[in-house]
Amino acid sequence: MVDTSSFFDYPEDGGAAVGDDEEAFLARLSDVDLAVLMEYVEVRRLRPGEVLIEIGDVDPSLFIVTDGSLEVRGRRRRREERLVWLPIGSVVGELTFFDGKPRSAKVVAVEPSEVLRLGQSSFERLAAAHPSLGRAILMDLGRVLSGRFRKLGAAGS
Amino acid sequence: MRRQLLAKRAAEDGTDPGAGPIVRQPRPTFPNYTQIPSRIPVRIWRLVRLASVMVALGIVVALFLRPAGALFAFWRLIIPVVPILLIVAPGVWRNVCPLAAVNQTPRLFGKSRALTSPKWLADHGYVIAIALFLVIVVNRKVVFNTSGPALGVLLIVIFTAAFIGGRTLKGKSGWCSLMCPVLPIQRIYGQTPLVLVRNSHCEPCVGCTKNCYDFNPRVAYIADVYDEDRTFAGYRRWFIGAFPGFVLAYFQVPAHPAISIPSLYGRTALYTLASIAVFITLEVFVGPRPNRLPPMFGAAALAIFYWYTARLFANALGQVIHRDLTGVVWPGRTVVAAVAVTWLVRSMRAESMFVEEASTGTLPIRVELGTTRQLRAATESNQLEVTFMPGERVVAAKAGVSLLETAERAGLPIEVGCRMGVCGADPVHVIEGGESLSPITRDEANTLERLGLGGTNRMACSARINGSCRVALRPDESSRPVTPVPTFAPDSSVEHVVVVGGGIAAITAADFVRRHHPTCTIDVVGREAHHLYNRMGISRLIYGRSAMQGLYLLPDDWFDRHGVTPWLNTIVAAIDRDRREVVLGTGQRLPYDRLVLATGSSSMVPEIAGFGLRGCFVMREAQDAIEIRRAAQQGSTRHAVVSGGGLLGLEAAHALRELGLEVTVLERSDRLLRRSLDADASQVLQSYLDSLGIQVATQAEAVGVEGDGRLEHVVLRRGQTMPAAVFVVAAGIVPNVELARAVGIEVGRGVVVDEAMRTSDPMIYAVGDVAEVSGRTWGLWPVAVAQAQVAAKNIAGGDERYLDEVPMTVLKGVGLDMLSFGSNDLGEGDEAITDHQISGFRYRKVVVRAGRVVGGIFLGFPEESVWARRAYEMESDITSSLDALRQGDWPTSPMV
Repeated sequence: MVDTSSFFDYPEDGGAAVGDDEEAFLARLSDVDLAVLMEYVEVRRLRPGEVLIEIGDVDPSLFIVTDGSLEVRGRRRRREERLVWLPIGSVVGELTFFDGKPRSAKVVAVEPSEVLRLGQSSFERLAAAHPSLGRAILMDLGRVLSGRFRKLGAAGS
Repeated sequence: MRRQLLAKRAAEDGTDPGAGPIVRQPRPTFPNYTQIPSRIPVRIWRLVRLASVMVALGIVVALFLRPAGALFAFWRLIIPVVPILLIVAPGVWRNVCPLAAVNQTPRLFGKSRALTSPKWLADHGYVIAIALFLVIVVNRKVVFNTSGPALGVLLIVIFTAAFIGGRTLKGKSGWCSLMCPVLPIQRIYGQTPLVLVRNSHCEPCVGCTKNCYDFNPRVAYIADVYDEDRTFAGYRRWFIGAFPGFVLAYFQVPAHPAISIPSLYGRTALYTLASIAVFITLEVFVGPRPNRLPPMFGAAALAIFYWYTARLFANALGQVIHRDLTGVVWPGRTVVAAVAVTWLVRSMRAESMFVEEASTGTLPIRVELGTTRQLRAATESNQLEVTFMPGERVVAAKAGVSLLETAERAGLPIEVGCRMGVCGADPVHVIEGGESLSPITRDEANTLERLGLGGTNRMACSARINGSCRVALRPDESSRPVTPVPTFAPDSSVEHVVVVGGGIAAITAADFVRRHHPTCTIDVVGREAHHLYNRMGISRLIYGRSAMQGLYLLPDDWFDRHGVTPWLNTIVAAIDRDRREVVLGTGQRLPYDRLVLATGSSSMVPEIAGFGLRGCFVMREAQDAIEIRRAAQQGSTRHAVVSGGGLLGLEAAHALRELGLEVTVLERSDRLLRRSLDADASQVLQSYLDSLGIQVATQAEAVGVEGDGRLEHVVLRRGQTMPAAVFVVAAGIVPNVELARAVGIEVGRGVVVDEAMRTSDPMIYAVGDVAEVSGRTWGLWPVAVAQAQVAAKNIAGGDERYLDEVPMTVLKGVGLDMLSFGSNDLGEGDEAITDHQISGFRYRKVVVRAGRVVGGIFLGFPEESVWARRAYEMESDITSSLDALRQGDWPTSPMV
């Protein structure tokens, strides 16, 4: 699969003209849902170069980039470089969020950035207290992930 | 504002090598325009653009006045140079093109309406560009090569269109990056610029078009042909396939009027279609890489163009300078061929690098754009920041929220206890910004002192945030508290004090005796094998993996520093009241002048047939919880039953659920937490537990257990059985009064004491769970601490009274903020203001009597609960807020 979006990380106002958001996660929260979600997340701020996720971490959290940008880094051609660019709006960490297995890649802030962290246990509390919002978030994440598998399937066949 | 904050911090911290792991950034293979150095100032570019617009205008005017010369200059001198410029330094063309300058003029003067292009235009604008290009070029041989006015009109129309586009649409989407007829050519040949020139038009970028060339020149074309939208990519591929044939047709097919116009069009179409056919055929053989063939076809078209143009251009130039330049045609062709080959090789290499950089396997999931903005706006309100050490973790915080809650929310390792500043589970060191935290309360100050912590240490649960600060999760143990000066002279007749017990009541009693009486001996005799630990945290021993780590509440040297002798794992066998001696189980005797009974309480176990079978537990002490965890791991089923829907029972149930067991809570009465909650709040709590997967059965009671050697079933009153591997009884507590009763001290439910905490023997005091004041025993930490302080002061020679009041109940172990305080039964003239929200499991209630809060129940609503609790504690007059409260507008102002 090829992702060209990383080369065109337009400033925030630009996105609407170019991105098709069919595959986007968490469309249109009501003010109430938004307030609820904010109660269960941590807002974390990062310096450029600060490591958000280290390989092997087992903290099962999902992050949403709300300011700045981060990148997934890994080894390629024997040097460490960017594997995935994570501009504003990116979700990262969903795999460990689901399976609780150790992190497989390192995520670093590229510039002064802000992320929301939703821990698995916070999510469980959220889902317990607000089942419909919890269900909506999970279904939405599931929808995006299954869209991705379909695409992988299409690319492979 | 926030960006400034972030930037400021980056400036401060970015160079600090000790401030967490920092990774150096390598240079990108495909730099975007912000990463391309700007060598020429924008001012110079503007002057050049002005000049280029003037030249263009001059040509247009000349096309009407002196058409022959103008046509010659335009077609024979200027146009031939363009493709080679596009290959060598396309950025120069993007910056100086007079059409672009005209298009960008409205924006430069702030007169553009800057609309977002409609989706059809964004998706299919390239078709317009291709069509314009093909129509204009093919009609050169009909009219534009020969008629100055025709070309002049064409140029005027195009300039006007570019201007209107710039007036209407934002960025360059009104012309340059979407519809300009030169765009397809520029995109093909600009894909691997020999010289990278930074875009000087767009400051700032408004993200007007997909895969913008100006934004990232090296990757724009490849991204186009790789685009997931196959139609979008298809237009590009179709054009590059057609291009060499079309160029060849231009030079091979005779011009009108030598042939008819239909014939001209037809033959051109034939060449073009043949070219496309070749492209499609070759595509079958070169494999699936989308940008393998396009550079080859681009190179072919370029070679064809300059094969013919080299001669024409040499002739034209020769005419201008009056020399015969036919000699440079072949060298010229050779140079162009070399450039074309170089370009081809570089372009193919670029594709490989692109594939490597862009193949991700996992694309990041994106949050929908509108939602992202909502989330950003929501975080804007959290301007305060707490930096937690170690690790320099910066967390945005809300005013009024405690450091403990902020750390918990951030998933940081911090111990939790009473949440009232009493137990001492969560001391932290405030490195910076301590002045912006809520002031230290008396309870907190006492706890810090017991812990031997002073200076800028705080109890995280009690320090509420009202400004940014920097906090270490470990206390600064080098700072000693300032010991308060005793307010009375110690009673010198008291030489020996013995405290029986090892819990918070016992330790607080010893602590406060020492504070007020520097010379007496103090012995603390505890039955348990542990020093004081956080009894409220023991449910964590069930689901957590770290056993006792972090649960101890005293520094190692506490007993030494306070001159207190601890006796662990030691039973007091008897009290010899006549000789004033405590007889230990070991036979040793400890003399006392004053004795404190802080023997605590035990779990009450109602009549349950067979209780004691393996798998049956109470939950009172650390050891109980440790064994519950063991049994839960060894059990044959994954079911657990908890008898008792009180605080402890619910925490046990939650802990077992966290461990993955199916849990049922049996509650004898008709609802949960009768003593702390009203019926509505109980209902909310029960729905919440239900959603966690904890079943609550009310009016249910266990009467027996069954199993062969180990627990298999719990039998209920009506004969029903429940499978269970673990059965925990948390049916309440009974004060441990045996010792007192054995020696004839007055005993009721607990050991009866007066307001000075004295028992019927004036030399003997009782505090904590074991003490019964005004007929009541509470079994709560804050009560134990308050009583122990009163007793200690009286022992040391003071005169203190304990005032019994309904204590607060805090339940957080089940993942729901629950707070209950004061009196929640309505008296005459009392008003209850409630707000009941089943969705979200929230509930809030205050009881108001004569303008003051006298009671409250909160499930959720942490900020409002802080307000109400403060109003209750300070006995503030809230008459002015009553109307707002009645309308559901609750104050959240957290700081008092």
